[in-house]
Amino acid sequence: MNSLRDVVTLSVLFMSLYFEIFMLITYFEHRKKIRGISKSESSHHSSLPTVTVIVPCFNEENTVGRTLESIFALDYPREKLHIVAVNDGSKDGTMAVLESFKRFANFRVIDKENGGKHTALNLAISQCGTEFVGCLDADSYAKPDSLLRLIQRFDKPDIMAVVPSLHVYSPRTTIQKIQKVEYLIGAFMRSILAELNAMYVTPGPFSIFRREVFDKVGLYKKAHNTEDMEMAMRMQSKGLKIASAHDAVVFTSSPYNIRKLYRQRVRWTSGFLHNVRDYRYMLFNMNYGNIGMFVLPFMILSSFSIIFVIATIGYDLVNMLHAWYTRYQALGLSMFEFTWPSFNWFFMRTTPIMFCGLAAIAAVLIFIVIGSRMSSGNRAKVIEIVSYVCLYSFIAPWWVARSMYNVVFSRQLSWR
Amino acid sequence: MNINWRKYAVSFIFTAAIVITALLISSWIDSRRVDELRNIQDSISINLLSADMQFNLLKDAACGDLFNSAIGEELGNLSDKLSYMESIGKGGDPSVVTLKKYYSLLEIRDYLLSNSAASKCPKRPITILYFYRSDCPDCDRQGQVLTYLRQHHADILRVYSFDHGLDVSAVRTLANIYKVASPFPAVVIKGKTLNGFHSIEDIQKLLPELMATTTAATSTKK
Repeated sequence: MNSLRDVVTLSVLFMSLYFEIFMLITYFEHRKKIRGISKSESSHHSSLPTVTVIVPCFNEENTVGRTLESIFALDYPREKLHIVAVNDGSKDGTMAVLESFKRFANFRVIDKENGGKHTALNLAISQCGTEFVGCLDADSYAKPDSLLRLIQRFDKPDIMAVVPSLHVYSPRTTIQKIQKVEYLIGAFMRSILAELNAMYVTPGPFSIFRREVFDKVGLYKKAHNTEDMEMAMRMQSKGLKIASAHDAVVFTSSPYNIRKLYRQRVRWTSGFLHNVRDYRYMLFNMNYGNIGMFVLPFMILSSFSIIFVIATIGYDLVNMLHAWYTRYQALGLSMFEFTWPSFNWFFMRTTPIMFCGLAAIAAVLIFIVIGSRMSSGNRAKVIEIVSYVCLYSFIAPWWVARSMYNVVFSRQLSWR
Repeated sequence: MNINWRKYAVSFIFTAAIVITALLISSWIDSRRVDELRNIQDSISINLLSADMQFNLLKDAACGDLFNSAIGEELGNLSDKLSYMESIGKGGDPSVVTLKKYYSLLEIRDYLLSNSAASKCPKRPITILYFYRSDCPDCDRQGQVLTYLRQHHADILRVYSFDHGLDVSAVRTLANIYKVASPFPAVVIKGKTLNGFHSIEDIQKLLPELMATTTAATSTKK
């Protein structure tokens, strides 16, 4: 422990471990309640409230048909379900696809000029008269029982919104398989954040709100192209409760290559950081409970620590290349001679940083296992978990760093 | 909104317990490493003493035992492990510094023994004295070249490496005998002191005997 770098690394690991342990303790504290959610009795269809599901579309001709089919297949009384698709000035064949569903009585299409997702949602919300309203992104697909489970979670009058359990739709590439594991961790995290009253996002794919929420806090804002995060933070700032229904499964299309993933994540992370900046008065403010005192400050702190991680990886990489170069200068091509690898405990890395790192990875594995159990039928394969553990920490820092740059230099991003 | 401070405190205690355990395990393993180094040194010390006595008792009949490669291998093994300790930042640890000094003395003892037997034993190993400093830019490269040669000619080559900055009077005396001075690295081959980096080919030219024999590389790390 003789260098500043080791001290900083150990501090970052301490912080991560603290967060993980806090999450696990919260899980075990509320385990019975969280597990009990999926066992709740199904409501009588006659007592179910009316719901409007809004599908905002911008150039979604390839996916919106399937999204709408998933909504029409929902196990929910037809007369209580209103579906509104908003064509936000698409330039492809989206409108034609929407027209083909007009045969359904409870389906309506609004065609408007392009103005952004928040304008599409606001137009539909302002026209809806149902008790509940939700949005399903046009690249996401709801499981038939999802809406029923989401509505069942509004079992207390103070619950104002419920978020579903999101999963990657049909993961094929390695990048999608990594995201599959990431989403399982997300499913676990959202259950815990809900228990802590610290949910900072009501995801576009199928978060359901009481209609009165929009009267109380206002409609969606552009919010740095992450209107779903801003809405959650605005609700939290007004003390409105957001719950989670981990048994309400919704699948969403995910980026299939690293470039698309990077773009998506830069948008999300930049949006998150911009929104936290807008709601900075919540930070370290006891009036806002766990989200103000713990969750948001931790997320900000971990973003800063990412810069340190990148610097460390870069430093190690330069050192490694330099060592190889020195070896090449000394031995020439002889350095490539094959020697049998031998195991000797003496040469194993056994620093405190390594042990703490292993503990942090172990906690992530526990998150994955619990997340998998919560989302029955979406369990991660060992190879997917290994890919996630090996690759994610090397790719995620880059979009966080880029997002921090965007926020510092106030760069706004477009959706696509 | 209410905050459960007790949970924050309990989480802190759990986290601190994990980090403290990690620190304790790591420090325990480090002490095991130092013990291991000590054991190897004791073994070398006993083997050297035994070889020395055998040589004195039996004179030239003990040549075979004196130059068996076991001592050379153990010295190489110890050298690898001491370099590893330096590479993980434990080079300044007092117990490691003491072990390094002791190692230097064992090397000198082995070197003297092989010199004293030189006239009586027809076949004796080739020796290279290597002086380095921790602040010398080319020493890392030179170390790699000598490790490579030692691994490929384990039966006939012994490389004795000395940290010139180490506070051991015997090392200083040895350096003075061969007029070893800056710039480093410096190698002493067949009584001649050469300064600066020398490649595998340079050393092979100076020691053509090496070209005749090659043994399989051992997999010791450097």
